[in-house]
Amino acid sequence: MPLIEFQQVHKNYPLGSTIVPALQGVSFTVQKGDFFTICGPSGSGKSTILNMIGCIDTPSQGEVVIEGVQTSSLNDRQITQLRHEKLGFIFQSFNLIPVLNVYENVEFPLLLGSGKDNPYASWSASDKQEWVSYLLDKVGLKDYAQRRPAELSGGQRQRVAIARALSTKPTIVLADEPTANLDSKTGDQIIHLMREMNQQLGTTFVFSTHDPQVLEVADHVVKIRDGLVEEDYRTAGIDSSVTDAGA
Amino acid sequence: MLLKLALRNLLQHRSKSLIVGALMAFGVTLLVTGNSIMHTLSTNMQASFTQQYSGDLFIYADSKAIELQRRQAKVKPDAEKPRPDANKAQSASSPPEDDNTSIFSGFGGGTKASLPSYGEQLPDLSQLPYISQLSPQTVGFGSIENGIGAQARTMLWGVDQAAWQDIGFSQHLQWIDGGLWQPGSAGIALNQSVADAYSKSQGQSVQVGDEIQIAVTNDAGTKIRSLSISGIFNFKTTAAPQLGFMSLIDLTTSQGLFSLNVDTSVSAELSADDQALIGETSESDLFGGGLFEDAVTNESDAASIEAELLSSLQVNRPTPNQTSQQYHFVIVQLAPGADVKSAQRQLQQWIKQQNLEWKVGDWEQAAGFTAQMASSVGWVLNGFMVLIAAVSIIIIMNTLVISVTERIVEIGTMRAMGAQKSLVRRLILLETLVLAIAAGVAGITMAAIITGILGNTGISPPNAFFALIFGGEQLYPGLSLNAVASALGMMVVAALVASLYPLAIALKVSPVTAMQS
Repeated sequence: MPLIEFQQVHKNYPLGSTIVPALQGVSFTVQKGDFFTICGPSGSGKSTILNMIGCIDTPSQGEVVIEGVQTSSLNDRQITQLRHEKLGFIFQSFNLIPVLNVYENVEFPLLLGSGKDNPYASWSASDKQEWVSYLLDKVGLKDYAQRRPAELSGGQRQRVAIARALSTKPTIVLADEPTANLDSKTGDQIIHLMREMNQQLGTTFVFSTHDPQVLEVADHVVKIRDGLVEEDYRTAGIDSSVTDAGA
Repeated sequence: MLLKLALRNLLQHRSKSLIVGALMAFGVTLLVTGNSIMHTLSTNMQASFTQQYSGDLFIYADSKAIELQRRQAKVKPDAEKPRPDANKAQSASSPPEDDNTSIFSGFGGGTKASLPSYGEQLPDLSQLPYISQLSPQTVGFGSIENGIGAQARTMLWGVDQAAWQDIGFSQHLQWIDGGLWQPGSAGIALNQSVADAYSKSQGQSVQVGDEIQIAVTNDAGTKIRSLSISGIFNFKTTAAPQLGFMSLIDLTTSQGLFSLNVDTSVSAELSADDQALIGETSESDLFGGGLFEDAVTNESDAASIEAELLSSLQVNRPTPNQTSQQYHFVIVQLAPGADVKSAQRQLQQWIKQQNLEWKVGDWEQAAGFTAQMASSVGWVLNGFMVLIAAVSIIIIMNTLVISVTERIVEIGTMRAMGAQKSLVRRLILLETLVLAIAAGVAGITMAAIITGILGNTGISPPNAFFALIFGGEQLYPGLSLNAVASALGMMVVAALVASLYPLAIALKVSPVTAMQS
């Protein structure tokens, strides 16, 4: 069963008296463990697709299925719980909580949700500490645990964001242009770090980007333009198929 | 973690937290200080009234019910006498009127305003467990005269000397000269202001032991009694202006003056000379001769006639053992630890069960105008506080909206990570509550310092109105725990109300905002 499934998804946004079609019948699937990239020019619909996978937005038509669950059938509470348990987010602007230190930022998702909704509530304090310390070590920030985000560089902040996104052991990590605010060298390091996490933990990474460095390491790429899928292919070692929405 | 987050957010946005916190603290300081002063004022006033003359409660006649009964008896003299409870029900069904009866008003003398059936009910009344002492009294206006022109007005308070002492009121009198009359005898103790006015009127100082006439005019006519001045006094604390006008008189004499002794006959015992004068005097003796012959032209003749009249009046003094059971009201002192409101309710219930045409008032009603004035000051103060609270809510709300708006991306990120709306709600409320409690504690501390200083230095009444409210003395306020608790509670409620709109904004934040940042 595919991890993520887009079934003829349409999305329209009202703009005054006009309806703007952001997505026009997009269909694709993502397998578990993919390092999946959605790329295209600005306004092509990348962020809209990412929002739908992140259960932040809903399609006007069609279905988005995550691990066999149709997201349109869920209410706000259920969707929030789904995001908590199955999704991790890495934002373009890092979006760390400024008043928490590095350790606390990574730990924060483990504390969300009420007791009965939070599967990590049963973890002991030492379990949480061990897991958070492991993640910080993996992203190379073990010695920065007590620092606040304001005391870190851009690259370090994004590493914290990666560790935070992985703290709940999500099935899917969504990254919206994670290297946009980083220099190329740092961006390259970040991409390779995420690839490493993908391979070690088996977490599916979904990127929205037009960074060619990301395309180089991705093993599944969907190119999108004007709300339509232009190309959908897998890279080396995996059969690729080109899908033309017009064909 | 939420508490940690709330505290750190407050510190992070230090300037806004300080503005909001300072405003809250200022409001709490005003509220606690003001209410503490009012509480001290009220407590002092209550103690002043209850310990000096009003007691904890007072029982008086239900004039309306009695009047209805009297009218019904007039219309149908042969009809069966209506039951008191029927009158009470009828009077209750009439349009309600404010009962402003106090110890100083509502009693005009005469049997109409007397407390019915008191003597019959006294044994049962005094056995009620919450009652410690009873002091039946009369009150009314009169004048003191010397019969040759000197006069001074006074309010006369008829008291039983022993009951007055037992209830403890006598220890709040400051004696200038003399004291209360002897038990079992008649007498009058003048208030110093009344004594001064009388002295001025007669052109010489009045002394203890002087004989004066007391005249009272009411529905039953004019009654005159002659008494010896047993003492001159002041009330130690003037909690009501009327007290400066109040003289004490023995209960029996006052009942005679106020025509409350209708159940006893008080006959004048004439001296032998008076009887001889009446018996031997004929019409021709009175009206014979020329119109202006045998007229009294000699001042000494006039003075001797007046002296004879005065001496004859002395024998017209009712003896104390003729005291009737008619009084204007009865002061009730409650047993130690008894709650006043609860006792008042129980006593009203007992009165209802006994079908008595009585009413029960508390010290505030007894005090009348003065207590109402103090209560009005309290209402004005609280109105002012409500205004401050309303303005504070608006300012706090605006500040919180700015704070939430600055953190929209942070809130959106939390929601994206899986934070339910309830967590966002708890976070915002926690921040507001922490701020409210911290500001409240700061405000209470400041109020404690201010009331501590005022409690040492005292507050002088700025004008005559406040001198009356204060009781004429300096006011030494103390911190009121009730004021502290209510101010803290009010501030928490105000903060929560102020947070409603910012909370609504925060809960509407979608995770999309995080993605769009």
